Amino acid sequence: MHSFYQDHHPWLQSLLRKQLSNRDDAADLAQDTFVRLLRAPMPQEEIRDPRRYLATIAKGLVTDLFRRRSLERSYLEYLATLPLALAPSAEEQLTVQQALLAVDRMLQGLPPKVREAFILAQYEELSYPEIAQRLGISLRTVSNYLTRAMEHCCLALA
Amino acid sequence: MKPADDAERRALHAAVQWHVRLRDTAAAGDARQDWQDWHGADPAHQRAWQRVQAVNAQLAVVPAPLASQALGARPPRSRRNVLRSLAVGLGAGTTAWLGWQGLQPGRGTHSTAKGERRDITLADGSLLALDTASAVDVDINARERVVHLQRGRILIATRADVLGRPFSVTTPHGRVLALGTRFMVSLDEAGRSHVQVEEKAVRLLPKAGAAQELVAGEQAWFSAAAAQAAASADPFAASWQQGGLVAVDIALGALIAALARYRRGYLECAPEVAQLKVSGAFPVDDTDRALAALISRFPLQLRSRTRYWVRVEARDAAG
Repeated sequence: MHSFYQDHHPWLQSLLRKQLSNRDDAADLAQDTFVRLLRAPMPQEEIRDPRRYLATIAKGLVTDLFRRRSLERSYLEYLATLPLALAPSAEEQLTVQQALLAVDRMLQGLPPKVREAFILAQYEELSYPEIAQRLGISLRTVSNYLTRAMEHCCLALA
Repeated sequence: MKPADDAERRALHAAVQWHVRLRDTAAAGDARQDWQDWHGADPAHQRAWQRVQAVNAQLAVVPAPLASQALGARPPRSRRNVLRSLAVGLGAGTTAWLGWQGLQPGRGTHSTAKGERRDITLADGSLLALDTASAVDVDINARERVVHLQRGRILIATRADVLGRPFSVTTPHGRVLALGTRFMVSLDEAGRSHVQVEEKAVRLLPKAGAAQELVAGEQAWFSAAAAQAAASADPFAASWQQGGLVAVDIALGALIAALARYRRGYLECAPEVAQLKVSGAFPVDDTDRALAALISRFPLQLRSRTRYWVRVEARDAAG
């Protein structure tokens, strides 16, 4: 692993730097890519082209990073709407941010309409007929969507 | 898939279907009885139901306006915006990934040390916020949701329960039954309980006295023998839950006494300034900062013999 690291780490880091235009992020993600590799060894069929494999892992991590930054930004926008006197402590902020990331993670992979039905039920507390009307679907489909979303979340949390 | 996994999976599917059915506001009341039959029929059903409730609790940690905005089906932010926010640099920590904070089982004891505060999401999704030096036992079972307050102060924001189980807080003096969503209960040194209602209503049930209802904007003390008449609530009394004490024209002595509850060591107010009226928002998690804010705005100074002994007094003419 040591020589593998030496062979490929500089290359990966420069690849990431081009994508991220931020040195620290590139260094972090290059590191994370190798950590990922340590935890789950490279499949046999990938060994002939390790750089392609590294790039695939790194790409996934970059996507995660963008999503995470986007959620952080949403959170800051939300915080800005709270009255100053009610600003949560740093610890509470961390808890909510992490929960937001976790919920986003859980919802990953759901079709957009299923996800939307779920958000409307869970967070906007619309009734089922209201959701049906909003999304132009039947009541039965609303139930199916909500069941599917919740089951998806349960399996993701396990 | 092993047969056992298969059975778990089927139980989970059924539990989710129950969850969706019970959430439907149009669902008939007998759905609840059917649910109880299903829930009681098999330990696998109970495990599956627990799983659904755990997800529910996790979902409840995210405030609704944030979730609709950030997770909704709106088109994702453009890459340029994301890059711009990258440039702003909101902290790196790329591997910092998720503990499942806020996720608590249905039963347990929670406490805070002096100066500590904690928000806990209960198994039913309700919020339990513990103020400094507080302790509770939580018991959420198939019939009811009960929080036993042992010491200190808590704020409760209940969530509508799909099973319609009553939510109450008990103290040595009696029971506070939630008839709505948001209220605070505390125990004081004099051996009384205090309740303040932020939203909707609660019913006070002193152990040996007559019941009394309190609505939003009211507060009352109660002992085991009786509840006192309701008085109008302090609108900022619950601000500790957000990490600050909001004072509007209150006596300095009272503010210092409130801050002292969060501070290790001895904090006192000199009698000659105790009646001085002060206003402001003061952080409770960092009482040094709160005191600094106080002396920067009012003609006061701090005298400390050691780190653990601080006195707030009038500023010297020279100072």
